[in-house]
This record gives sequence, structure tokens and C-alpha cells, in this order.
Amino acid sequence: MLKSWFNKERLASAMSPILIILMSFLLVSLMMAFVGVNPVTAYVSLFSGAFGSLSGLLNTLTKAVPICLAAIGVAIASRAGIFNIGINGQIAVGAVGTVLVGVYLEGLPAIVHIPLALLAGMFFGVLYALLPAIAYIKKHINLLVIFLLTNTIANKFVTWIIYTKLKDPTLQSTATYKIQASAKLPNLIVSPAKLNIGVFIALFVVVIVYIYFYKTTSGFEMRTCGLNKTAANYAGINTNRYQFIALLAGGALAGLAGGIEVLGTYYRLYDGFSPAYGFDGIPIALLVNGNPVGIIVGSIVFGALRVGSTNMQIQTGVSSELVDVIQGTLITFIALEYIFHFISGKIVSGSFFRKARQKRSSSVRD
Amino acid sequence: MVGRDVHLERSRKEVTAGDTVLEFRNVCYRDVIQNASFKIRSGEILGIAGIDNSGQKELTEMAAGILAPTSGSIFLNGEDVTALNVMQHKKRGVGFIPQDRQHAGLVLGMNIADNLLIGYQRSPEYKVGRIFENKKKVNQDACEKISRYDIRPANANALANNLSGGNQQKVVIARESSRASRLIVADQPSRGVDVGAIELIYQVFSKACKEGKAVLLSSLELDELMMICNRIMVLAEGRVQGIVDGKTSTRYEIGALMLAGREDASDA
Repeated sequence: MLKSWFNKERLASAMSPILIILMSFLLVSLMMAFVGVNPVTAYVSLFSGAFGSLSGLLNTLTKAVPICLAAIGVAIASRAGIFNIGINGQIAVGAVGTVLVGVYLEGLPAIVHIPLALLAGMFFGVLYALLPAIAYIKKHINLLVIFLLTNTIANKFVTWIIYTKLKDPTLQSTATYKIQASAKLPNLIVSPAKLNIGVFIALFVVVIVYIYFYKTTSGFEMRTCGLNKTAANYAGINTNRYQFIALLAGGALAGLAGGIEVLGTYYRLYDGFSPAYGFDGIPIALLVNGNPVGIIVGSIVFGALRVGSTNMQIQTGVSSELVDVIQGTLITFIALEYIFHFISGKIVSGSFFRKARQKRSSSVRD
Repeated sequence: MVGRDVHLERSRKEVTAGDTVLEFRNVCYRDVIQNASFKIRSGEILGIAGIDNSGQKELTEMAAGILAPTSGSIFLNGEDVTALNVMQHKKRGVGFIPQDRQHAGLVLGMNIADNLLIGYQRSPEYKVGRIFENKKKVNQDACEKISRYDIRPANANALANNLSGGNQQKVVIARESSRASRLIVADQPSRGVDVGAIELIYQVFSKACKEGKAVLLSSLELDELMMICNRIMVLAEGRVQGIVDGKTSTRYEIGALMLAGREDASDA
């Protein structure tokens, strides 16, 4: 059983994301060395900030929740054969939905208020995904372009709606009123840092998505549609419907991520509250090829980068924006994934280091 | 070449006027097919001959429900199926072997077991309850088909991408012919496959005929059509030029029909 699971193909496919991560860390080390920082100390302070203390660990987990949801949104879309980069805007719009219900619905018990607020966030996320989805399915408008546009619009929309309609005048910063106490997500741990039940919500979503992808007929059809749309159409699978659903599901998960951030972390909606969680989801989903366990691991790593970068900035003076550089290099390397997959396949089969000899012998045979 | 004797010659079974399985009545598709009318009876192989791009692809795809005719009607066992989609055709026992197996027939990134399922995943035997997939049944089914159709490697988990062209085609043949209870529609099934797989394809077709199914076979190889078909329909520029007997017709006769739509046909 274990042997059949642990075959070479699996090993090769697991090795390729590890190689990609190592390569991008290596490249970023070179950059750090170039500006005169010891990359080892920088990485040590980065990861000790994220995992070195209990509070760091809890913060990492909290940050991992929206990243994880965003990654699942991207993964569902990529299963259906489309590239969803609109998660970021949908998170922001979803958060607006949640904050509306969280602030202005009064007198509800927590058990009703919290789900209602989160559902409102999901609804807003879906609504915001609707236009790009319809434009793509009906009119074949390029998804990348329309998502980039809607992401920008979403951020401006959130700023506008906070300034003009929802701003708490007692605050210096641009933020809405505080949500009702009944809408706050319960915390599992309060000290030394907060950890809310958003972790369980994210895990629950991962399990649901895992079951959907691997155990259901509909998941099989979506996978067929993503791997080969033509063959799926020939088999009578309604590929447009699956792609449409995948985009809307991404919107719902993005809205949920935004809602959890509002109800669990900030208790109000700050302008620009999301440090591009939606974009964190993209490399994770692509790196692990939509594997749910990989998504959990990947989102914890990315959460750690977000949390540890502050520590790194304080201790070594390396700007915390370095995390974005790491992400950028990751995406570049993912674009070159075929090469890494090829190399890791060679390493697993043991022929990487024998290549030169093989070449020679084959030329002799010819 | 394949490590054993290959018998491509098939004795043609004489058709004793079975029931009409598929009927096209004045079917048109855009400007590709014009007024196609023909019938296939059960136990019969109807070949489609013609120069490449004479409308064979569209004709076979309409028969399988992938394309909807722009006008005219299609009947399956007397039932009007013109407006039905692929799934509904499959449910009624129509199997389709598309021309382009790598893009339309298979999902190369999936394994053999999944590829043997595509298109039939909704049938109740492969489901548990309403939403779950019956993996055990799927694998069991795959193993049975792999041995029956001699697919190599005989490993249900092997990716379709790693199979040879012949074995890829065997997967498509196995999937479609095993579920087609009435009609097998095949568009150039023997193109680019090894002789062992060709033999298997002919065997599958002749067995289907013996079981009373009908086969609609499009091919660019006249010899192939003349060897296994009961009747041969000749298409030229989207028109049915004529239907000839598979046994008695000559290459010259068919060739003349193929060129009939052309203005220079009189010179041919």
C-alpha cells in the first residue's frame, strides 16, 4: 500500500515544488548578499520571528487562514482550467459585505450573527466574481485583463465606501465602525496572541474541497474539464458551467477570507487591510498543483513569511517587502516549472548525474 | 512486427435487412454538409469514403450528438434525436470514437482508469448515492477492459500520455464500444495506430455487428472500407454522392463518385 503510494512519479511531482522554493530562496539570498546582508542571519530571523515563539506561531496561523482560502479559490479555478487572479479584489469586496452585516445588524445572537456576516461576505465575493465570470464564459473576454481591472476597482471601491458611508469619525485612520460584539469570531487562544476559529473554518473548507475533488463525480468532471476542455466537451461535460462555478466558488472563498479577517482579526474594516492575500494564494495553488494538503503547508509557509518579515526588518534591516520579492521569484520559477519537473524527474530516476555518460553512449550507438 | 500472427481479413457478415438504427433525413450543417440522407441498419457497417475534409468529421459528430444539424433530422431507432446532446446520445447507446484521440478522445494527464470512464461517469453503476464516485467499481471495470482489449501497459494507473498511439486508441475504443449498445460511430479509427491495434478495431466492429449493433465508419483508406464495410457511402464536398455495395464495388467506381462533385470530374 505504502509502496504503491510512494512511487517515483509522486516523488518527482513532490520534488519539483521543493526545488522551486529552494531555488527562489537561493536567488533571494544572492540579492541579499549583493546589498551586503548575510542571508543566513536574515533567514534565521525571518523564520524565528514566525515559528520561534508561541505568539509568532499563532500569528502565522492566523495569517495563514485567508491565504489558505485564497489558495483554494485559485486551486478550484485551476482544476477547471482557468487562472483566477481576481481573488484579491473579491476579498476586499467580501469584507465590505461582512462589515455591513457585522456593524448594522443589531441584537442578533452570536450563533446567527457570525454565520450571517460570513455569508454576506461570501455573497459579496460571488457578486463581484459574477461580472468577470459572465464576461469570460459568454463573451470570451480575457480573464487576466478583466481580473486585473476589477482588482483595482475593488480597492478603490472599498476606500470610497469607507470614506463616504461607513467611516468611524473618532478614528484617525480610514476604517469603519467596530462590528457588534455578537459578530466577533470566538478566539481559541487569547494569550500570548489571538487565534480565532477561522483556522477551523479554513480546515473545514479544505476537507470539503478535498472530498469534492477526489471523491465525487462532479469533481471528476471538473478535473476533466481543466485537463482537456475539448475532450470534456466531446464527452458531454458542460465545461462552461464548471468554469463558471469555479469562478464563483473562488469569489465565495475570497469573500469568506475577507469576512474572517474582519470578524476575527481587526473587528472593523481598515482601508487596505489585505496585504495581497489573494496574490499569496496564486503561487501556493500553482506550486502544489491544487493538492489540499500542499495548500495547508504552503499557506502556513506564506503566513510565516508575512509574520517573520517584520522581525527580519527589525533585526537585520532587510525590508519586509523582500517577501514580495520571494513571491515574485517563485512565480517566475513556477512559470518555468516544466524545467524543474524535468530535473526532479531525472534526480528521482537517478539519471541526472549520469546524463553526460548517457549522451555519449547513445551517440556511440547511433 | 507485433509478435504474433495478425489477421486483418474479416469475413463480412451478410446483412439480412435489420431494423434501421440511424437515419439522417436531409441533414445540413452550415455549408459543410448538404442534404445528407441515409440509413444504417442493425448488424451493418456503413463506411464513409471521401477525400479528406469532405465533411466526414461533421457528419460523424452529428451522428454522435456533438454537433447539432442546422437543418434536417436525425433518428435513432425511430426516435428523433436531432436536438439531443452528447450525454443523451450516450445514454441511448451511441459510442463515438473521434478523429483526434489525443485532444478529443483522451485526457492525457489522466490515468487509464479515468480515461475509460470519461463520458460515462454519470451512469448509476459508477456512483455511490447521488454525488460520490464509485472508485472501486471504476478500477474493477478498468482492469476488466484492459485485459479484454489488450491495453499495454496493463496498469490502470498509468497516464494516458505514456501510452503508444495504438494503446491510446485502444483505450478510446474500449470505452466507447463497450458501452455502445446500438451504434458505434468512428472517425478514422485506424489512422496512425499499429497493425495490432487495427486488428483489434476490426474485431470490435465485426463483433458489434454480430451482436446486432450498427457501425458508422469514416476512413480515408479505401482498402479498409472495401474490406470491412457492407456498404460504402461516398461523400464529396459535403454531399452524399452515392452509396455502393462494399463487396462488389471497385476502387474506380468509388473514386469516380469521390470526384463527382468536382467540375473536372468528367476528365477523371
